[in-house]
Amino acid sequence: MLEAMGLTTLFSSFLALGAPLTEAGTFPWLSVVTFAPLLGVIALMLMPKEQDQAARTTALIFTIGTFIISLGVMVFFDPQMTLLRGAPFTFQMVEGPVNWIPMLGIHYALGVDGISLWLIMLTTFLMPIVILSTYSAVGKHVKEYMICLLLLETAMLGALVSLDVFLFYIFWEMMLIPMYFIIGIWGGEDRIQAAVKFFIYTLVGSLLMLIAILYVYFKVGAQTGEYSFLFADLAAVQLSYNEQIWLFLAFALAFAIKVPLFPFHTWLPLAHVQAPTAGSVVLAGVMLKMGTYGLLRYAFPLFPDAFKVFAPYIAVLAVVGIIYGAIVAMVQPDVKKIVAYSSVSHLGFCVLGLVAMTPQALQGGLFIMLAHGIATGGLFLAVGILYERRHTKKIAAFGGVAKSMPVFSALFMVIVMASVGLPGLNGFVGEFLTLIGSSRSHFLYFNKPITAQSVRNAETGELGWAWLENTTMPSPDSLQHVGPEITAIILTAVATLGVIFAAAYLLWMWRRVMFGPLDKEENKQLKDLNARELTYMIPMVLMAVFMGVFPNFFLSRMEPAVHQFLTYMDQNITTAKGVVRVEGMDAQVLPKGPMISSDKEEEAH
Amino acid sequence: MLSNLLITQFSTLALLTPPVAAEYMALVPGAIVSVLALIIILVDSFHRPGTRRDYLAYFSAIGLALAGFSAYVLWDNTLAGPVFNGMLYLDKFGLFFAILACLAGGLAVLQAPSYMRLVRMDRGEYYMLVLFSVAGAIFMANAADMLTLFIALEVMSIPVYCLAGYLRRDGRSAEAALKYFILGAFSAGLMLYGISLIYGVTGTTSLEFIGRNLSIIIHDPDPAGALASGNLITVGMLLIFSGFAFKIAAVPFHIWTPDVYTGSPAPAVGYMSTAVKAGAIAAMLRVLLIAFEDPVLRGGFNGFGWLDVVFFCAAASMVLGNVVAIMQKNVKRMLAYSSIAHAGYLLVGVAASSASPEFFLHHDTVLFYLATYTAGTVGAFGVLSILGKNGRPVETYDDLAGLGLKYPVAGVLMGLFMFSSAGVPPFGGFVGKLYIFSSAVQVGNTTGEFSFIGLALVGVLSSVAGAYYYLKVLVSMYMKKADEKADTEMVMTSSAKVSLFASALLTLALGIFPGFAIEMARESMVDFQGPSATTQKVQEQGRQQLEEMRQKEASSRVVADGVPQG
Repeated sequence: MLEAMGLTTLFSSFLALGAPLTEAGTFPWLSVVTFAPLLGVIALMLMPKEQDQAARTTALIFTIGTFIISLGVMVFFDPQMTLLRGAPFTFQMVEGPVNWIPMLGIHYALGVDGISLWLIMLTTFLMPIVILSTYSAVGKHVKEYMICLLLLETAMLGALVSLDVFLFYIFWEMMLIPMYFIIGIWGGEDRIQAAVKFFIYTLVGSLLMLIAILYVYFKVGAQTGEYSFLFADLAAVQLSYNEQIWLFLAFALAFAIKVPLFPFHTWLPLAHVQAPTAGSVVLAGVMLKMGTYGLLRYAFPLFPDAFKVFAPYIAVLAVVGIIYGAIVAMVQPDVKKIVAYSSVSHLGFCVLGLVAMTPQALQGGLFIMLAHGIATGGLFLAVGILYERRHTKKIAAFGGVAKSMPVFSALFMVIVMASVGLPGLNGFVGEFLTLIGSSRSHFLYFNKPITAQSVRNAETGELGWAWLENTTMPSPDSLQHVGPEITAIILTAVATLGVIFAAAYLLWMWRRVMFGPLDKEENKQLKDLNARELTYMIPMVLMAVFMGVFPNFFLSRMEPAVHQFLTYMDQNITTAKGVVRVEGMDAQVLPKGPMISSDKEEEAH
Repeated sequence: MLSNLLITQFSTLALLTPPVAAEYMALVPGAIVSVLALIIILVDSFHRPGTRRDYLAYFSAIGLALAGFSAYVLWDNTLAGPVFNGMLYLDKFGLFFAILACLAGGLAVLQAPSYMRLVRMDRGEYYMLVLFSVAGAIFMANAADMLTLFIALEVMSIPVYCLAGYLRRDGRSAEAALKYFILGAFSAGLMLYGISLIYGVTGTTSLEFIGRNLSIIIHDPDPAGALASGNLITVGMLLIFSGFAFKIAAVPFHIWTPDVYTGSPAPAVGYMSTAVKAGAIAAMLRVLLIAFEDPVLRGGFNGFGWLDVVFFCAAASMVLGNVVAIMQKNVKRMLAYSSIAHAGYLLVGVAASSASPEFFLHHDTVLFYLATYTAGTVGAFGVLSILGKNGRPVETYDDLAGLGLKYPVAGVLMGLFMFSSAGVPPFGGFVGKLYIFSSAVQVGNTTGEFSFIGLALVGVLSSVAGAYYYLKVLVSMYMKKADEKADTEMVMTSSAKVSLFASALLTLALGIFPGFAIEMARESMVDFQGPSATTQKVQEQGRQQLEEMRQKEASSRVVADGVPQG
């Protein structure tokens, strides 16, 4: 017995961990990408305290290294891979599953698909830029700051590549710790309140999700006899309609807080405004996407029937968020607050795209995740540059900055335009696809109101609560030929207003900061961008342009995953067979190859 | 197997038969600790005044490590059962708690030298008291009879009362000792009264016989007879439970906790909030699961019984502990309320696993949680006992302001312990909470009794409040400006370093590789001596499952080793 315990178990689990990796005969790309920043943390911990520059350089080297390795993931990712029938996702470069905690059925399993691929790339792309941007912004406790950023990168990448829900949850919660310190130690005036609010708010949602995960986990155990946290096992479990409703609510709440969806957004402006520039960029660029990613990866496919019920409600919240975020952004006197509220608005588009469940909308939603990461990240970087020079973020303090900082002004303009959604830049592609797709959606109508009623259980005779549908569904046959629902069109139309608002508040902000009379003494002395700042601003701008001009580079690699996901949803929503109709749409509506080129040409005429 | 070899060797030496040898084997961990305590008294009386007593800390810690290791060696024994005419049990359950108590005691003892320097109270009695208390805790977990249980309880408690009053120049310490002693004596008296009532009904103090006799009495076909003794049994049961609830600081027997924790020396609080709690939980499980294990007494699905009391105490402790802790300004007081909350989490595990005999093995959640709780809490009090401000140990949030960045080692360690206690992955506290709440969810899921899922929800939501006040410590340490005028110091003796790093390592190990500890906890429950026939069947199933799992592991290891490299 002695030898089966303690250290030996530890060693053997390490051994077992190595085995399948070598067995597959491939390089463990995902493990290496995920844990490479952690090596940086160890390196930093061993460094002496005072050498700030060395700490920065080390962190930069490790993040660039991670980015280079992640390029390997992109190169070896095979978009043509045969898709699994009957599964929501097909993962590649799979590592494991290896027993991690065998008593609880917890595994170490990593994988990547067309949905997570680009979020991984976004994370690794943004991190070196973020590190560069902190060189002058953070002067105290640099080493600790770099450790936090690198830990954050590992946690974010881990959450994206995990195939075991428990592993995902661990990384998901681990993200909170470094971000909490980043906001709380290096943030602005109200940093403590912002950090604590951010932490507690997110924790409430995640813990409810944990209970839901456990519930599904025990269902897995009851139905298969083998307890397991693997996502594939969780997805295979049979859940009653009632269970799905409650579980979906728990999952969706956790992710909606992270996104943040409209009524749960109150932590975001505070956290964004108080966080240091790097924190804001990571928060907006990647961490918010974890919410939308979680919805798509976990909440929707695990509980398809509940999703069908709640989709229109979520869509309404998303549209309210779009308009609300835009209107609130318009009246902010603070540049950073404008950008923060614009995030609420843009993420609303993303969620609308995800719940619309049409190929275009889903791809649009996924594309917005990336575009928003680049555009809003860039905006926060630009705000950070202004703040470092003037130590204020108030719009009223600026004016005519374009004259003293012409290069900055040009780069800032491209980023602003990308965020506004100017055709040719990345923001346009995502929003356009989302709006096109959601107007055709069959998921955004309300002819199935749900009410809670007390009912008597047929078997036990006990009273309980159940969600009842008041009206019957139209038959799938009739749905196949109806046009888009009127609610979908209304929601899309209202959402489109958000695009106009975005142009209004962003361009107005840009005009007030950049143009106008150069009447303030301090603004006349502003220095233009130095080499370091150019080094991190130019890649952002180039990426915004590249994504706008060659969206198909990204979309083509998402497309199989999106289609598989939609097929899965179509087959698994018991009340809505044939509504998504991916195959049919492929032939009739969607041209093969570059998905949006024909749409774009129409727009150009 | 090493232990069996030892037993045979030992028995040839002592001219004893192996079963008799096993009786002495059961004493080994406790005996080592007791002898060690006596030696410490002796050594300390020859101590040259004016020199440091750090060596006593190392000496006690090594002794405790030895005792813990002896328990680990005994783990393999195949002679589980009652020993000394049914006075003690020799089983893995008792050994698990022996290891736990030695761990808590060892870690707390190693923190003492730093704290002694901060308070300028370097005296040898401290070590002796901790050691005697550990011995009491070990015997308490092994008790098979109400008498040994009660004696062990007192052996464990009385040194702790003295430890509470250790800072004799501090008025609050004296207050703590007095409060703890009077209330403790009172609760012990109540418990003794309960034991006497049960004895009056059943005519025995042995846990197993009490269990059997109570079943016979309750299921007496003559309703008058059952009713007459029914009230006595209920009162006796409640009184005994209240004694345990007092020791683990569960609501409504928690009133003493905040004052005692605030007044007592920090490393001693670390010890008393973990080892004492562990000992009391172990004895409570013994009594509830052996003596009162009849379904009628258990209650729950069958009517009112101790399960309902445990359920209520669990919910009340979690809510009250977590909510009141938010408002505290003193960190030790906050940790006192949080320890009430942790008692609530532990009772969630007890309640859920006792819902029906088929969940018997789920008591391992309680054992595992105690392990994670011990690592995190002793560590947290350890950090408090090495930091000083203006010549006294830190106590309030304001005292901690800015210390995290001033003393990075203390800051990082405190962060680790706080996040673990708050239940944030990847630290031990998270897996502990997960395991406890998952057990409650599973019970609710399989029995359809959704009150257990409700209990898990209460626990989860109240632990969010918990996260808030644990974060407040880190807010002070990292985000508040340090008081420039204050004279802060960190007394990091080498022994404190050992203790803190060991706790940190344990917290991380229990979070990232909890497999071995969970397996040990599960084995402890499989090996638990004395329950009824139904439960023994469940234990047998659990043994087979463990066996299968191990075979699977072994075969996968063979496959792993067989893979050619590259």
